This record gives sequence, C-alpha cells and structure tokens, in this order.
Amino acid sequence: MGYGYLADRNRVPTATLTSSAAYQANAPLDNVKTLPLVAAAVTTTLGTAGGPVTITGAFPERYPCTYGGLFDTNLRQAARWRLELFSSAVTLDATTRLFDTRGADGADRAVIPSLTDWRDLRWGDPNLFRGDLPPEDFALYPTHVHCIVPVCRPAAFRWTLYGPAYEADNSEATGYSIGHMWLSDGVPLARHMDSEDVYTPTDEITRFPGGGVSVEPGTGYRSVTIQRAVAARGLRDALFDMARRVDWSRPVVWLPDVDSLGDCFRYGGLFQKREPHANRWIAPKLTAGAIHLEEITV
Amino acid sequence: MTAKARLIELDAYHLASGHVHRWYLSLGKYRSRATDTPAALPYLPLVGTPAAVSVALVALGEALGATRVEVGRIELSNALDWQGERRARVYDVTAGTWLTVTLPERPLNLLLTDYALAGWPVVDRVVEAGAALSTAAVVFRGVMEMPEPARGAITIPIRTREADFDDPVLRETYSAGDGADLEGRTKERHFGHGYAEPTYLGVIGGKHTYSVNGAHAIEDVAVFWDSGARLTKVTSGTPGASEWKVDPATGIITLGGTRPSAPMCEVKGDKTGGVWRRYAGELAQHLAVTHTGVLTLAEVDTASVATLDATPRTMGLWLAPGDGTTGRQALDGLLGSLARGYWLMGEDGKLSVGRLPAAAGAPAATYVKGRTTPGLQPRAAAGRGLPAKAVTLRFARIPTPAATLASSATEADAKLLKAAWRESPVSDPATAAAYKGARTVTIETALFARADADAEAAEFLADLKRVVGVYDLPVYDLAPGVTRRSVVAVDDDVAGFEGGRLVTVIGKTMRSTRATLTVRT
Repeated sequence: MGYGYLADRNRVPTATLTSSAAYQANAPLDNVKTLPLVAAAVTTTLGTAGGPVTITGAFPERYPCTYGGLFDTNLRQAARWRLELFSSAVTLDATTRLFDTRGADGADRAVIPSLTDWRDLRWGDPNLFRGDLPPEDFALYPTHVHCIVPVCRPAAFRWTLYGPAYEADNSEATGYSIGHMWLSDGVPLARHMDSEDVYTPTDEITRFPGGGVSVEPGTGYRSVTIQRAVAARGLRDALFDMARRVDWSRPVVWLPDVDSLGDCFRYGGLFQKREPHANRWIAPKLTAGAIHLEEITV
Repeated sequence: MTAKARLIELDAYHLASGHVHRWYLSLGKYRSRATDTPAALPYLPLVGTPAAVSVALVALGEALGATRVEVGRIELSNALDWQGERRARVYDVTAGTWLTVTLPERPLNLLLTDYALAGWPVVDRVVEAGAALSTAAVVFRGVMEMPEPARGAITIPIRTREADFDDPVLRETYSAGDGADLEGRTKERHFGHGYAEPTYLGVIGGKHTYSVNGAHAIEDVAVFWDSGARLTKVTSGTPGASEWKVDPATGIITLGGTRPSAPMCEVKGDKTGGVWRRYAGELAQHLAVTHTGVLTLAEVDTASVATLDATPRTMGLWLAPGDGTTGRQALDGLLGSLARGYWLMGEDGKLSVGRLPAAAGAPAATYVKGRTTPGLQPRAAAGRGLPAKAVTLRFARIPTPAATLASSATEADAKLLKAAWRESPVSDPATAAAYKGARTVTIETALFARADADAEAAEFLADLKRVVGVYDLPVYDLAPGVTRRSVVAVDDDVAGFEGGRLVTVIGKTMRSTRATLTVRT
C-alpha cells in the first residue's frame, strides 16, 4: 500500500514539443498542452518496438518533477510506453539521463501491467495469461498513463510509445491520441477515514404515467473526497497553497495509491476541485480538512 | 447505449477577410475519427444549451400550405479559459482551407468582435459518442440572428430558413422618368398564367403604353379588354385604333387607340431565362432561386418539384406595383392552392414542395405509450375539428372586377370580368347527413384553369371531409430521422390508437434532449 498523490502546476505547456510522428492537421501535437481533452494530439501512424512514436519536450527552465502522465489516450493495455528525463535540453543520451522507466532488463512498461494474483484468475478469462484487466473493464475507464518519478529537475523529457491503440468503438485505431500531457511536482498524502470514491452517472430519467421509464444516457463522472483527519504543518500549507493556485478551474492529478496501477486506473485521473478548502484546527500545529475533486471528462 | 453529443456547426462571416468561417462546437465530448472527413476534428465543448426550435408545416389540422416558424435560442459557454492558448480548428468555406485560431481567454469573444453571425446558417446534429461523423443525424438547420452577449455566455437566437423568405417578392422600383405616380413604387410582376390589370406607363412614342411584368420577358398576353370589350391583337406593324401589340421581350403593351377606361389582360407571365413557368412547383422554385435568389439551385429538392408538377396545375401570381407580398406569403399562396400542399426547408437544407402524404406505408418510427412516449395529447384543430360537407374552391381571380361594361362585350367576357373569382363547388351529402354541424369551406387559390380547379376541389373535399385528429406527441428522444411529413406509428390507449395507428407528422419542436411531434391522423 503506497501513498496517494496530488499534483498541480503542469509544466508541459511551457515546453517546446517535437515528435517523431506526423499528426492529423486538425489534431496537432501542441493540443497536448491544453484542455479540453477532446482537443487531442492524434498521430497518423502507430509506433512499433523498432520504430516507436517519441515526443520530446524541452523546458525553458528546470523545474522539480515527481510525476509524469498522459491523459485520455487511446492506448490498449498491452501497448508499451517509456518516460525518460534528461538534465540537458540539447544532449538527450545516457550521459544526461536522470530517469528512465526501463529497468535493468530494458523492458518498457505496459499501459496496464500484470495486476492480478494468478491464483485469482479463472480458466477461460480473457486476461488469463497477461493478468491485466479484463478488456471489458478496461473499456469502462479513460486510459491514462501515470509515472511517479524520483524527484529531479529535468531540462528535457521524452515519451516513447508503441503498440496497439483503439478507436471509440473498440476497433483498431491507426494513430495514437493523447488528450493531455503532464509533468510536474506534487504532494504525497494518504487518505483517512470517510474518504470517498464516487461515480455519478448523468443519465436522465423520465417516468411515464403507467410505469414506463426511459433513461437517456449521459456522460458519467467520478469524484473523490480526500479526508485528512490530521495534517501537520508542511502538508497543511502545501495543500492550502495548492487550493489558492488551482481554484475550481485548473486541473489537478489525483492518484489514490502510487504503488497500485490498478487503483490509479480505476480511481485516479484528471480532476478539478469543487469545494472550498478548509483547515480545521484540532490541536496546535495540527489540522483536519477535506479535498473534494470532480473528474474532467471533456 | 452511450451518451450522445450535440454538434453545432455555425458559419460566420469573418469581417476582416470577408470569408465565411465554419466553427465546430459541441455539447458533450466528440472528436471525429481518423477515417472521417474532416479527420480527427475536435468539436470544442462550448455549447451550454442547444436551441429549442419549433417548426410546423400547416395550419393545424388543415393542409393550407402555410409554414409556421418559431425562434429558439442556443446558448454558448464563454467562460474564462484558465489555461489560454486554446486553439480552434476553423474551416474557411470561401477559400476551402483549414485555419487554426488561437482563442482568447474568453474563447468565443471572437464571434462577437470579429464575425457577423446574423443571417448565417447553423446546423445542429446529434451523434453517438465515438461514432463516425457520417452517422450524425440532423436535428435542425437554421439561421442565426444577432447574438446576445452576457458574461460567461453568448445566446444566439436561431430561426429556421423559412424566415429568409420574409422579404417582399417585388424588388425593382420605378424611377423618376416613369412619372410621378409610379416613381419609387415597386415594379409589377406576373408569374404563371392568370389575369392582370396592366400598369399604365403613360404615352410613349405617341401611344398609350402598359406594362405587365416590370419590363421583363413574358410568354405572351392573350387578351386585352377595355371595359369588357376585346381589343384586336396585332403582331406586326403599328397598332391602329382598337388594336394593341405586345412585346414579349419586355411585357410592354402598346395601344393604337384611345386610353381604355378599365384595362384588363389575360397574361402568360414571366419568362426569365426563356422558360415560362406556370405550375406550382416550378413557380415556387423560380421565386426561391431565380427570382429572389434566397436559395441556390443546389438548395432546392428538385425531385420534389418534379414529383409535384407531374400532375400539372397551372397557377397565376399577379403582383401589382407597390404590392408588399413576401416570398413566404407567395409560396403559402401557391402551395396552399393545392390540397394538402406544403413547402418547407427540410432537414437536408433544401426547399421541398409537395403534398402531405396520407398516413400510410411503412412508419419511420413507432412510439408506444409508457415506453417511448407519455402519450398523445389532443390539441385544438382548425375549424373546431369539424369535417367539411362542402368545399367551394375559388380560382382565376380578376384583380379589379369591371364596374361598367362596354356594350360590345360578349356575354362570356361580361360574366368573366364582372366577378372577382371563378368558383368550383363540390359537396358530400354523406358527411352533411352524418354531421349536422359540418362546415362549408371556401378556399381562394391561385389556380387558373377550371379543369385544375375542379380536380383540386375534389381533392380538398376528400381531405376536409375526414374527421382529423391533431395531437402533440412528446417523445423521449430527439426523433432523428422523423421529419415533418414523415409517417409514424403510435400505440396509445386513446380510442383508435390501441394496437398502433399511423399518423403524419406535421410539426416538430426540439428541446435539449427530447422532441415533441405534432401529428395528424
């Protein structure tokens, strides 16, 4: 069980982006810097292990970073990704590399790695051999890629993608789509009692005389309540500063458990604050409080 | 079932470049797919409330051609964008190129400052989230009015294109040289085949001169009466006393003798482009396209025109100098002269004319009470819903009936010119016996020939003697694919609807997620 993680101040919009791939004219690469998510960067081709799609960004200034993320992508769970951070915006090689998601064996991470204890898998399950999410469950959630990084101050970063991707109707896509890209520092914090993960459908229900019911489907959204029964001064001030920075309009990233990609996939993502931020004093130097977040779906 | 997105494509006139730009906005998340045209286009989710627009085709319950339009409003979100640098992909319709527009902090301020919206078209479509763009169904096509800005939102009134015909049909005016009584007045026009009182232009070249079509080409003038006496038509030379000559290239009539006291003509009218149009469909198309230029030919459902004119009905439309008849009134008059006739701007953006189909054939949709609709709600029909026992159809109008007739007028001419209308009465004794309160309906039409009028009178009576129910049918969705003049099946516990009954849709009101159909049995 790892800690939860809350990040704001996305640094990617300041970066200069280049890519190995070509992009759809209506969906250029720079769309990853902005919301709405629907205005995404869409490549015209897919990457392969030998010829992956890379997106390189150079920062004008070196910011401390502890998190990198891709939001609202169309990667299938078996697709592979890599994030590298460099101390130089000019020379991007092993001499300047600060961080690499590849381990000693050189393998790249899957969007959803093997999550499940093999003893829980039943014969005939679609995820029997890979142990990742059943494809039906995977399709229920937006596909985000999260990466916790040991704190460093990169001057440049490089995302590498290859593998299959899906269209909205689950057919094979011909290009990658990335709604939003993130690289920033954040605040680690654990949730306390009464924290909530909520899913709210926005379906519209009409009841007819005579007992009939019609339901017009809407776009459901998730929301999160992070309760802190007690927070010491450092966390208290960090969260209050964050509340001032993001207001209710700017996005934040919420990961419920950095050690569990399954939890992050189901409950984490891109959110906006929805309630005032309050520090309730329970003792000298100790406060309690709650953070309410609502998912950005568009 | 997945969520649906509403796609709003609005054309706006870019004031600086003079080009028309198409903006792509949505309610809900939608991006076209890589295989669509345009490919991978994000629709900016800036629509707050889509328009509620109501369109109806006929005077409720009675097919009399008129098209009713109400204005709706569409609300766009103009909330402050925290991040800035948001980009919109905009299609330059004029140049045929794509532009990237960096939006200001309030993203739609550009629409208020850099663009003219009023009078430009807007298309509202609905599509399943993630589906191909080609599967999007048109909810309505309309025209924007002046936007109403508010902090954080822009409201744009929307109307349907039928209102584009609200300008007068007569456009050209007489100038100072045409005499004091004509100066500044609009020039008369005559379309089709009918009677007209020619406009006196004065003495030109020593001859009394009249005009019937604003100096535009006509097919012919068949007869010229003076107080019921026929003057002699000559086709060459100079007309002498009691003689007249017409120049078909200009519609100008030159008289040889004295000035007539009560001139009247039978005119085969306007021949713009060398075609004499005299049937309802082609006249409607001519008024909309070649005459007023409100529509391009591509915006006319020419197949519907051909279908309607396959049963030709000769019509005449005489507009005297200064007449303020609008295009809409003219089209109402022409199509209202036909039993169940209608005209409308369809969901495909095209002018369509025709006769409202009877409720028969395969339904476009089936609505069941308690499942897809809360049920039929009756509404008051025209004429208190009573059937008609008799129809008197009036046709071939004389603009000014003669007060005094010359002694040389023939008996037939005297009868013709004394009465403003010819009449074709038909009655149905069975309806009269069953419904003691049955109505007698008089319909004034633009028809010219008695054979046509007799046929139409019978058609009108066949329609009006039926007991017609008009209902509102609220449905749970936007009823894509159901348009005015569609046939739908309704299963309700109202008498006659148990087990399903076919009805014809004559009106549709769109709100944000559901529609109300007005249907007629």
